[in-house]
Amino acid sequence: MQQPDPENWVERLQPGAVDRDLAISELRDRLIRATTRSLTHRYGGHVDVEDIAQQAVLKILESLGTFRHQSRFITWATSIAVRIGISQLRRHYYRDVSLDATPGSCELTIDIPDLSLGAPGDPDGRSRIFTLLQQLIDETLSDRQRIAIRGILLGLPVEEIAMRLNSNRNAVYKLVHDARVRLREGFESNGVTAEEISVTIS
Amino acid sequence: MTSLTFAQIQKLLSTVSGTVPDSMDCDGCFEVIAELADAEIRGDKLSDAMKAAKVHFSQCTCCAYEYATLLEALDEPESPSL
Ligand SMILES: [Zn+2]
Repeated sequence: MQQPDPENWVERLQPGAVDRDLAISELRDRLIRATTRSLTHRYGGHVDVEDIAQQAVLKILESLGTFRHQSRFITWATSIAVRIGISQLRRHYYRDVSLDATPGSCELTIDIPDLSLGAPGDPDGRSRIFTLLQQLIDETLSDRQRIAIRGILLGLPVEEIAMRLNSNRNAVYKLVHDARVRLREGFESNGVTAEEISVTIS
Repeated sequence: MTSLTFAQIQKLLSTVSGTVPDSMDCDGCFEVIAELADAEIRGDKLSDAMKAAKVHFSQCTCCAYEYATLLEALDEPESPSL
């Protein structure tokens, strides 16, 4: 459903519009307030909100033709600023976390230690699931999937893993999701349900 | 060789057991994130694409995090009512 644009943003931001400069300045101020409110307490807060707003305004002006009026203009504009800001925060926050992505190196093996002894719960069930997980990781995942999963377990966001793998966010998301599906199917074909896994790790 | 901690194994198994089919990718999700935010703020019925984005959030912590951040960014005290 087409959403109204009561503040006339789209019209006012068009090249040649009478009060375009004023509209740009108002938009920038709105984005500075929005990013200050939502970004400065995240990922250590190393973010220059004025710079983010400026980058966002440029991107918004460049993409004005793609705005489909399915949301308020300001919501769409804010979503662009938030994405730019979070990417920048993540890049800074995770700059020192390395992900050894050398194909074929033994670093790609995820070793699951036997933690079945001494932990609460059913040690036999846990041991069986851990052993099966190790087997499924070794036999059903590709090298890149193992690297990406390791990145996720290190806490790296998908876009950061993508950067380290010279890939893109969509591709890495799919890589990781496919790996999860393979592991889940592997458990199921060995008679282990999702519920059983949940009970084992709770 | 990377040896996982017990917490990492728990995280991996929890992610695996919570895996459901996802028809969306991160870019597709970003396409509808603004309209989803407005619809949720207004309490509107969600379209199929918006519901798909919600499923994607359950699978993709990055997009879920960005959506939560967007909602916070939109929560301007003096903003006009929708
Ligand atoms: Zn995503």
